[in-house]
Amino acid sequence: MKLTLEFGGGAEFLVGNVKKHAIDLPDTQQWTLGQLLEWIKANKLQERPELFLQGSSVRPGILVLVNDTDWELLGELSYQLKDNDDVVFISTLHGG
Amino acid sequence: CDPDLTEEETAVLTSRLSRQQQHQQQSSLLSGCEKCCQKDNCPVTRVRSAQAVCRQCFLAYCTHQFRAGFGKSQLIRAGERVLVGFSGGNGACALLRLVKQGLAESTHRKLRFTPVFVYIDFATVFNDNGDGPLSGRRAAVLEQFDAHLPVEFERHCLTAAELLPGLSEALAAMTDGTGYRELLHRSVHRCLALASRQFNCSRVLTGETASRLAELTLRSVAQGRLSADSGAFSAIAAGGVCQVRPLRQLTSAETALLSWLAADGLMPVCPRPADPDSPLLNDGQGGGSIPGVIASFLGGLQQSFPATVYNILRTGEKLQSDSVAAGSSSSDSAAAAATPCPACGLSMQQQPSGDDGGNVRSNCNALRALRLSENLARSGDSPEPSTAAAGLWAKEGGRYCYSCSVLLNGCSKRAVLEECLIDADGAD
Repeated sequence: MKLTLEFGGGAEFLVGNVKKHAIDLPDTQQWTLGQLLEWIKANKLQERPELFLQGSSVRPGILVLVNDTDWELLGELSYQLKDNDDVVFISTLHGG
Repeated sequence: CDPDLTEEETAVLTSRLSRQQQHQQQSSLLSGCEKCCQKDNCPVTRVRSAQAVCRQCFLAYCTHQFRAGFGKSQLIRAGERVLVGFSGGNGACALLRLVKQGLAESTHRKLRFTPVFVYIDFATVFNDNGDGPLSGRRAAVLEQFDAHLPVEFERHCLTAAELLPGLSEALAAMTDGTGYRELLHRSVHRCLALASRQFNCSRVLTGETASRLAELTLRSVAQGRLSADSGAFSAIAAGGVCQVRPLRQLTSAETALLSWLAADGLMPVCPRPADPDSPLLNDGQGGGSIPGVIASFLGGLQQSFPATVYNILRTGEKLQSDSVAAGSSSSDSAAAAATPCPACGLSMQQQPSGDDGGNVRSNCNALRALRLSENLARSGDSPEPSTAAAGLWAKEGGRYCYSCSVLLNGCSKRAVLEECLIDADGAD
């Protein structure tokens, strides 16, 4: 299953300062957003995972969008990912 | 599509919209925007009314929240010069976008003030002389000015080290994280106030969101002070400068979503969150700080209870109005309230000792709550307010309010810090 991950708002520094990642998850299972976060922790996060994750979810202050839709509308961690979904993580932990 | 977007931006937006529609067809959880009731308009988020709204309705919601404050307050007159503080951050980008949109000729009932955009550069304060993150941030902000501001909009980049010459030394001399962050916060606003004077501006607009203002409100209470940071739409700060917070009704998440959905290329210039050398995120010596604890606490609470920040702002406004009323109802308090603290401009009403005349309202303030908490934390059961705050006040001779006294005592180079805090040319 092909997905595009995008990081912004400073979150990109935690994944090697790369904003856009094209990834291919194995089709051996149904992937939820919760499982994707675990995959990101294991495969993409290069430093300070506590600034991105808190427990099994994202840290407060990280906005998550799937195809430009707030994950809150989609069931958050339990949302089942689909092929070619675009998942965006934007950190709001900085000032204005 | 918006006529103001370029071809590339339109292509990005069209691609996103088609992905949203595809997603809506596949999802059984979304059934069209609850605001405009168009089934073809896929909801993207929930707003304060708990309605699930589409992109267009969300953008309209943000614009309305931004414009409503100006309309209700009637604060800014036509032709007035207004300084717009731009840091390159989340709220600042939203502010720039909304101001630019509000001033556009084609906008219905356009805003009519004259903006002066200012970036305060802190690079040299932290010895970043060209290749550090702050120099990079300055370069990125100047690029954003060129790319997104119409040529007729005035824009300036000022250095904090020139506006507050002793700031670098004062920051290095702070002995705890709370004082360090407090000084950093105040120095940004001091710089904006000085810039407004330099460019003959009557007001200062800042991009502080509801989330940030709620954090500042709790921070103020935790440090024993009622503050102009209580979260009101406008506040008079030290030096008589009127600060206006037009993003007060939007959370940080909403402003971040606004930047993403606007798809106009204006994205925040962000500090590296994990960079231990990032001075703007450094807690200074001694590790943790009250601001850090408050930010973490509030962030977690807001995630579980989305009305948190608005409740804090409403309560903060009530505290501000109650303290003014308390000051006017007692002769002793009225005399104290007339004297502003020279460091922060707030009423000196909150002295830790003295006769409050039995006035119940004047007894209910942040400082007394802090003293009670301090005493309970030490003794465990005594209801009497502690004497530590009174001792500090006596040592200072009552010249400053309690929280400024704490700040000054937390710096090993007090004279330098006083020069940074006190506005010698203030309008008070």
